[in-house]
Amino acid sequence: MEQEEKIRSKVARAVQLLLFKSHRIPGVKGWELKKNLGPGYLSIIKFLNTRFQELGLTIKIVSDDGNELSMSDDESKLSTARFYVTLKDELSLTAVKTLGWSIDEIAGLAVVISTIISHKGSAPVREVEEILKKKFPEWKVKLNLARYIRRGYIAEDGENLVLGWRTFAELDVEKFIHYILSA
Amino acid sequence: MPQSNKYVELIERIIRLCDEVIEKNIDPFIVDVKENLEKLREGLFEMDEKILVMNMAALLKLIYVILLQQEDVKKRASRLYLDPFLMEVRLMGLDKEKIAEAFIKAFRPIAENEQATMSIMRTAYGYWANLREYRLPEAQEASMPNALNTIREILEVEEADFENEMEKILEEIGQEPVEYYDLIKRDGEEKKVLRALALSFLMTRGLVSIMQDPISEKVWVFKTTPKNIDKHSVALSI
Repeated sequence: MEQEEKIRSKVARAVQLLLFKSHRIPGVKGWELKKNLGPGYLSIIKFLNTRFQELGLTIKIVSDDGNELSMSDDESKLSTARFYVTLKDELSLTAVKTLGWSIDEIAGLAVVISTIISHKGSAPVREVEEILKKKFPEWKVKLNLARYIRRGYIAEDGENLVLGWRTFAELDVEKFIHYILSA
Repeated sequence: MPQSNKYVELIERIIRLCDEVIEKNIDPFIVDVKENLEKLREGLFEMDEKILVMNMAALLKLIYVILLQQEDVKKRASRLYLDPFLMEVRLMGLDKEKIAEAFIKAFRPIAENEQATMSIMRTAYGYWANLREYRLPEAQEASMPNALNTIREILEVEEADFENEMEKILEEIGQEPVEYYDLIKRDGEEKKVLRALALSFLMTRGLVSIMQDPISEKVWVFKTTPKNIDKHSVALSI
């Protein structure tokens, strides 16, 4: 009984760590989970993931270089990776609008991300702006780019733009490119 | 020129070219590996020990460039490699809805909850501590209970609508400075607080700035670019 109570409190702690933002970036690092939940933290996370999936959510693990990891990956890789809770299934266009996004903003972000990918992960800011200006009103371009940077979808690297942490956490980049090419 | 100097110069040129490719992440195929290997082989028997060591260093750099070329070939062969020009043509051929749909199919947003952290509390304290107040004659007219009710209504406004209001204000400002009260009252008293709040967000983003005329006590609002702003907080009465 005591053991059961212990596990329950660890699951509750894991929920707090995963869902409540305590740093600038949401989610939690593997080593932080281990520190708070003990060496068996992965069992707790696996159990929690099955419960989250019933609610249409899932736990996603992303390494420092932006690759998605699985819970069976090497402990040392998981330790430095970040654990996020994301939606499990696809959203409708209407649902995305209720999250505060307009069609223009979503399409703009899609154009920026695909341009960066086509430049092997780093595209000149000026080139991205020129492409956006062909599709959207000029005054909106800088405004939207600043918004994407603020939210972590892209980041500035000198005079270039690169993909940000949020893109790796929220977007299946390979699938996205496939959908763009087959749209 | 002595023969050994000719070799030193040649080897240094090869090392410089390789370093450029390795450090600046530029196309590794600009290095003609075969041609450079032949150059390094030339006069191998005439080189002294010191030049031979340099020759070896250049050879190692060339090996690294070959490795980069191999990586590049792998990347180009993978599904993720796309030519920037072809991608641009593809994007221009699609309408905004189609692009947005493709994005949403692969998009799984993070479930996150904001909470006050020590760093947020520190930032908030810094903000209030550095707040500078501009006293304006019209400020006395505002009645506190009404302002609070309006703020309560604003909190229920959808983020997308709020963004639209910001875009609208930005368009209204145009190229010439606009008087602050003229701008926020343009859509009537009911929308005054919402517009003042939207304007403050534009100022935070560095898209708009203000200037106070100390003689007429008028406050002018004008467009700016995010890089031109200096960081300071300003309190303006509604």
